[in-house]
Amino acid sequence: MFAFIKQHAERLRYYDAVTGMNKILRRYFVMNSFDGALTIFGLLLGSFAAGVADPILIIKIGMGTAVAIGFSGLTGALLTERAERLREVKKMELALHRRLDNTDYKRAYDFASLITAAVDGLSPLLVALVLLSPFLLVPLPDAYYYAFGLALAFFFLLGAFLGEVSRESLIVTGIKFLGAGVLCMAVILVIENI
Amino acid sequence: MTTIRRLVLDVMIPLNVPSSELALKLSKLTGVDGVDLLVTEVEHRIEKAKITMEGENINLDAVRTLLDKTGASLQGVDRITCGKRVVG
Repeated sequence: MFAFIKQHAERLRYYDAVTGMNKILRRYFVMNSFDGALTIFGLLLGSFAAGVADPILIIKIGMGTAVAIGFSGLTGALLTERAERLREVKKMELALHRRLDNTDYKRAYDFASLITAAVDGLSPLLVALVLLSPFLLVPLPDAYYYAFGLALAFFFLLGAFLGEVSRESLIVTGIKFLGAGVLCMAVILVIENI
Repeated sequence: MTTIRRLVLDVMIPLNVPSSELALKLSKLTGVDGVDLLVTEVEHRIEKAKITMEGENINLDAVRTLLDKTGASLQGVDRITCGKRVVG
């Protein structure tokens, strides 16, 4: 069991060294989970302002939206990443004067495309599940407040995560992301009240 | 039975494949006691290297297969030493 894990960990490390997928995964995770969170946040704000009082309806609309964002991320990332990485492999084939089919090198690129698409597709879906969970657990209107709180906390955490990546202040980057969420909230509430 | 005791290979390696990793993998092959990988030239996408391997019984096919699998390109075998003892 330990040998199996070690072998796969080594392979992943090799794939990352070849493709640099770690950085790309991080970027896709932040971008698309922020996309998903902000979309669901907007949807909930709209529902709240419109006085929607049916939690099942909110969950259905929220999940439908999240699946659409996830699917868009999955297919978009899969096609674009695959195209970009295939181009890289072809350039390398020219430099090496050999084909790279059935090599670990090519497998690393195939794996990177798939895992990138999976992260791009699943991250907004998971975020949506978390943000919509209060509607299953708490009665309305409290569920709205819990969901808004979760969304704002998530924005801050995502910003802090980026701060950790860029070795900046976690608080400052967290507040920047939180600010984006609050700004979005303000704009939506202004539009809803026109 | 005579065996290959030393091999010097001329290899092209993709720049994004860590040469340390390749050297380590080669050193783990059966019959290989030690590996020396010397980068001789770095180009836009690749690096050229001289790989020297020593051991009791180096399997050239296994070396070729490993290089092939890793994405390296074997340009040629520059030196091969066989027999009961290392000469030269």
